[in-house]
Amino acid sequence: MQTNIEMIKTVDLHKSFGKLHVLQGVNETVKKGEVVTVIGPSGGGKSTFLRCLNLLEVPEKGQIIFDGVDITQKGVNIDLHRQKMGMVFQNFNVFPHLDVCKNITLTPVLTKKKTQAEAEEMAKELLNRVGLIDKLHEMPGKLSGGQKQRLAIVRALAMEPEVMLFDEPTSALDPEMVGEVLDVIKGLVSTGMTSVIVTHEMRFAREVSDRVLFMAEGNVMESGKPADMFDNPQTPRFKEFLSKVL
Amino acid sequence: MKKLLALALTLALSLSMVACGSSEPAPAPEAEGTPSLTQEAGVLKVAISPDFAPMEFVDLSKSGQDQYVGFDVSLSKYIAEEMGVELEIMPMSFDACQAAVSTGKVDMSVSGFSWTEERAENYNLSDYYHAGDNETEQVTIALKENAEKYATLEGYAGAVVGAQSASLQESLVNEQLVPAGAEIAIYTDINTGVLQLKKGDFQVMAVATGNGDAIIAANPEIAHTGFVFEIDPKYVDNLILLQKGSDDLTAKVNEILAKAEAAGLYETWYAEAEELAGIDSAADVSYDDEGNVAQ
Amino acid sequence: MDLGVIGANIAKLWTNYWHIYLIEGVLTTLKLTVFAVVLGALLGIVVAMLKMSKNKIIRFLITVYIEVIRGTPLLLQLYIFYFVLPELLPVFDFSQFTWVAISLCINSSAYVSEIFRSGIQSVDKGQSEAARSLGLSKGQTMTRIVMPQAIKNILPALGNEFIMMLKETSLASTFFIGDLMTAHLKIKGATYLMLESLIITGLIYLAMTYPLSKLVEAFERKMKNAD
Repeated sequence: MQTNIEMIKTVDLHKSFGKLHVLQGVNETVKKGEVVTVIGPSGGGKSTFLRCLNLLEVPEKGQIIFDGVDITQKGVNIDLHRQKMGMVFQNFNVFPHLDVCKNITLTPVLTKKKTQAEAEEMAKELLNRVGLIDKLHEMPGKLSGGQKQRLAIVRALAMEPEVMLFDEPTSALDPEMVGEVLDVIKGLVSTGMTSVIVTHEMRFAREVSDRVLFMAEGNVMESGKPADMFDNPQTPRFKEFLSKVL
Repeated sequence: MKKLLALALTLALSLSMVACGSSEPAPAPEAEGTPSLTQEAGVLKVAISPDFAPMEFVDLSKSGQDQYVGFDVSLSKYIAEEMGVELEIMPMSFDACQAAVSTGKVDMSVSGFSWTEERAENYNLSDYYHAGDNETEQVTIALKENAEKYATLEGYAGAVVGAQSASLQESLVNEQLVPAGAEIAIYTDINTGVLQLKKGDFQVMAVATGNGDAIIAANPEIAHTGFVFEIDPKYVDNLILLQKGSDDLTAKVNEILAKAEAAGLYETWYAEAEELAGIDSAADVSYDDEGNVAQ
Repeated sequence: MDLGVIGANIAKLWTNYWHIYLIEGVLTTLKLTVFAVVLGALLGIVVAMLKMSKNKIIRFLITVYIEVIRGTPLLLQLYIFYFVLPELLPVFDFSQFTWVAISLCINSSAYVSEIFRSGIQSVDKGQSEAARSLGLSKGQTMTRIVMPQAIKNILPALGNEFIMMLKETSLASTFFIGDLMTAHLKIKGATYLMLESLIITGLIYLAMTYPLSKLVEAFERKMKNAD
């Protein structure tokens, strides 16, 4: 359910790690309400691209314009902008020393977005939605991988972000837990959350995306509507990729 | 790169430490007869190594400054009295005493020093004093059952003789016993030497008479051999170490030493020290039926 | 070596001088150790923070500090603090005990800073990435997320540093500072019973370090189980 408002825009984005020129001038725009999935071979730059969007990776060159603000400029308070973006990691990264409730409420309370009571209310509601309400005061160490990832998603949502970034959210999960996490993400995007999802799950990508980006060798080689992309690959590189993964 | 810098810094620090030692002399007072820096400060700081009964050791029943006793302590007290100042004893290891004098941390060290060329070059040395009559003798000690063998020079052929590193005894052994066919073994600490003697690392040990008496009092299985080193007069006595260039203080100290000797104080102090150390002179030691020293 | 005589001598020494070993010696050893490690730890935290500074000059100076302190023998440092610094900096009119304590404290700080640094670095990078992604500041990330997890590694290492320092204070006996080793030097100097005094002194050191190391072990186990 996309709009025409630009949420995130990258202009000529370059990122290198030492001699490796991972991103070679990426120009992309994500519109508000849009669900964009990014697929492609390893080393192609997908994760790096995603991590640039909230400046976890700092590009050498190029601009990233989030909600009208160029966040690559000096003097920008990146923390404030990150509070409007949620990120979900491949390795969950839940805080092991805090219980489930605290994992969720810590940031909203510390950043003064909510009082403790309000934050807990919201936590309970979110946990209910993803089916984890009975784990409210559990320690993350006792959760399964799928439960941890659902917790991570809820933790990010508690900040009421404008955009959610998913970095291969199911790649580290046992196969039987992949489904529960994908269901949560599907539920989320159906509410209109602007999302950028890096994934290997092709069926899922086809199902939820408004747009699919195929990244390889540091740039977006091909992009388009999922049906078009998967049924009519244009570039040889993409054809080669599809032949290997489907 | 940073390792190199760390090395350079360490070297610089160590060098500065050495440099402080061989620095320019202490500032000289205006005219003769004026009080030295010490007297102006009102305190005479003396470094001693109180692990060497009966010359300087600790009276374990006391604490604070009072705990330091022994011949050298009595001498230091006397010097301070005569100079009209307070005495502050600063205890530290023997090597540290010498560093303390070099760096000017103390005014002098009275810690059983003998004359050596190195000390003459790097410090001001006082006139000689001697710790009672007994202390001037340098002798050897051995396990009681062997003692007789080492009474004369002939007995030393093929023997291993222990001596303290950089000590007068070391020089004496090298000069007099090694030519007679002995081998020398070095220890850094006199108590280690005693252990080695008992263990058999060497058969005889070269010590000053006073130390020998103390060792025997605590270890009745050891005895004097009766052998006495021939000594060049300049090795016989002790002296005080002062910072190089502190000529006025040295002169004052020498005055006081002369006074003490004339008054017969050396003998008095030594007798006191021996008594405190629980040593009867070797001749008075008696043994009970089990071969232990009778208290 | 007659074990009977040795045993009798040990008993004699203990009966006569236990208060010097324990009340003077152990107390001074503990005083020095606590001073060195507690203040050294506080200083060590500052040093660790400075090492992560953005300013190149500060980073360089701190690195030199750490390398020199960790790369030279403690005895050498004690000598410098005891003999050299009081001459160079006469404005600080400290007692010998204070100079020695300061030297131990500085020595400890260099090692503690490394303990903190490695403890912090041992926390998975993903933790701070997640925290920053949520919008927590650098400071909040450090205090709320990284440090609480780093503590699990830092505390046992600090405990071991304490035990190490407890033994290293014995070097200060070269200045007859009054610690347990000094007690040994005084007593063996007065009684010539070196072996017996050594045995007593060694046993007392053991009596201090063994329970402490067991405590550290127990703590480490507890931390492991909590995961």
